[in-house]
Amino acid sequence: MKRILLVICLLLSVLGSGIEMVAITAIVEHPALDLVRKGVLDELQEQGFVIGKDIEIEYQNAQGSTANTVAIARQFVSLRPSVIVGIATPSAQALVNATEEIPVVFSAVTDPILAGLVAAFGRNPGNVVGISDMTPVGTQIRLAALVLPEARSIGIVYNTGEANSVSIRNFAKQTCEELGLRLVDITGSSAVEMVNALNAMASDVDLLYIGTDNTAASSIESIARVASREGIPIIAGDIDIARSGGLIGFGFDYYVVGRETGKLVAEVLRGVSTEELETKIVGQESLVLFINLDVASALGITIPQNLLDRADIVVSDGQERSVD
Amino acid sequence: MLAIIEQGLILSLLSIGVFLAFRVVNLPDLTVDGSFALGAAIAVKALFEGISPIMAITMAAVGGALAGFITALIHRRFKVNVLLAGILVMTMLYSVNLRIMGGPNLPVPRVSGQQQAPSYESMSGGTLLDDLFADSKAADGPSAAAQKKTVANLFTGRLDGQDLSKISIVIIGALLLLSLFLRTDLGTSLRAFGCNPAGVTAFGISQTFLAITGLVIGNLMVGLSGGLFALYSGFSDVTLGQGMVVTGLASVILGEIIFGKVKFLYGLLAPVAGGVLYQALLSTAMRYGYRIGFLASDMKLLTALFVISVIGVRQLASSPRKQRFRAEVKRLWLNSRGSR
Repeated sequence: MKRILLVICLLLSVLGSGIEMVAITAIVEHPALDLVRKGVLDELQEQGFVIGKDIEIEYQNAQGSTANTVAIARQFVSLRPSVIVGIATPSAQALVNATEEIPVVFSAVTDPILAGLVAAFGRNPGNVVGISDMTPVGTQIRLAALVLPEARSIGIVYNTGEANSVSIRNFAKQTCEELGLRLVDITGSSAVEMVNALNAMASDVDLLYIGTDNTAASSIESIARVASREGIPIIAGDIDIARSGGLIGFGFDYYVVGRETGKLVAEVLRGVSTEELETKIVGQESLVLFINLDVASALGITIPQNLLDRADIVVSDGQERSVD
Repeated sequence: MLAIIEQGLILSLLSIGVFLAFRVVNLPDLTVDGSFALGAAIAVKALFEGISPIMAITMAAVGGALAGFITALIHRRFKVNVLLAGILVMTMLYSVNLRIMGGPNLPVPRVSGQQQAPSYESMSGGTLLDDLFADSKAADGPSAAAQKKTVANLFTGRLDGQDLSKISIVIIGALLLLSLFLRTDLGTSLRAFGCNPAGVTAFGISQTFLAITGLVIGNLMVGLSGGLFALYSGFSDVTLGQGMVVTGLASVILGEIIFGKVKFLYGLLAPVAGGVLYQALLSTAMRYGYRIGFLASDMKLLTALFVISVIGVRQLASSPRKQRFRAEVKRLWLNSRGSR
């Protein structure tokens, strides 16, 4: 009898340990990054992984401190989860340097090659795979030139301390050179510095371009106020930034980045090797075009009809509506 | 657990640096935030350039020492308050670090291949708006041809005790050298300077020289810590130094709580123990804190409150007012008994 009980106990403990741990870490609490995490969890649940039954989630946030990302990464590795998700560059870097065995899925890293996470997009040897939030910078700049053909200089607002933004800035520079436009760096390492720089330089530029910069995103209200005072439009690579007073936004929802990441996590949980999965960007069908006609009329800008036809979200008379 | 000890030991070098500045020479030095990131930036950049890891962390330490030298010079020569001098140098170092790394973030190259990603358009073959543009040429990534090679890192990150033994050797070496230094005549006058700056002048030793020596050695340790930390974590980021002064100070204070008045190696052991304990507490708080309602974002508040409360309690304990307070309580207590 005792022996049977023992066997049952053993069986139960084996079944009990069948629950797999998904460890998630992000550099900071931030609307876009929180959306990524939500996307990952929603995708996993949609694919049939029940939280608390099939998988357990361990989540830690580094509170914006790069040193903390390292502590969290090492701690996660010692918990031996089935897969670790690293959201944003420093968190992902800390993870890939902490383990060579546990699968690491990164997300919301603009340039995973520059960050040293993988050697190239596509399949790579090793335990690292992920989704880049690389945004179509060239197209965004071309959109700006399309709407404002007379524009000669573009001010790019970003934080020189953010790796993602510096990558985007380099792409913007390249496109501007191709189009014969002047790119003016408007930089700051904090919201206050950024707005100061903008105040000093706003009169020198014909329009403002903002990629996916976190500092610019958090001070977008002030940036938009300066822009409207100076009568210059804002073109953004992020829809949420564009919503706060931007003229045009062309980019994707970070929730979609999360869903794409979740697909990779689900594959890893099903036992697919990271070496067989592809590191990729978010597909072009997920890109959203946002146009604010109220801002356009305030600035006296006419949006070409063929561009307006392509818009997914249009704001007019203070009302936002989705167009299919 | 092993990871906490490893990281704690690396950061305990930072605590020693903070200890030397704040406690031994009694100069509250805020250069630390900058010199830690400077050490990290130099170490990774050096590895990138093919310099050996040992040489890289040595350069990191020298960089930190140089930062300390500049702070001390501004403080003594231009008669600038040491707090302000530290903040000025820290601010300068932010820009310097960006220059050194050539960007905000630099990884220790662990995979060989391209240097940078190609553009979105060249990967996806354009976007759905391409037909709107006269020229629909997809932009290529800048310097897509540039290749990078991998380099040997000092640490493996395998948690097999190898990293720990390397870190331990550095810590023990640093502790030995420092305690030997503090035994020398110069070291003795340095300690005396912290207790009574005017006193050392009576012996004909320049205060400026001692202030410089203190901050140079303190920041040398901080730079070394930053360099080791960057190699250990596999990358350097311009924000790496943020809040390091407070981390160092909290570790120093924790160490003092553990050791009390006992001073091993001129009190150098206290910040090491404090550094490890601080990491352990931090990790525990990050892991389990949310269960009792802590948010991740509360950590900075908690750390600062901890430092303030320890300093506050100590201050009250040593003040004459406390003795008076005690006497008052005793009197009231006796009175209340007497009146019953």
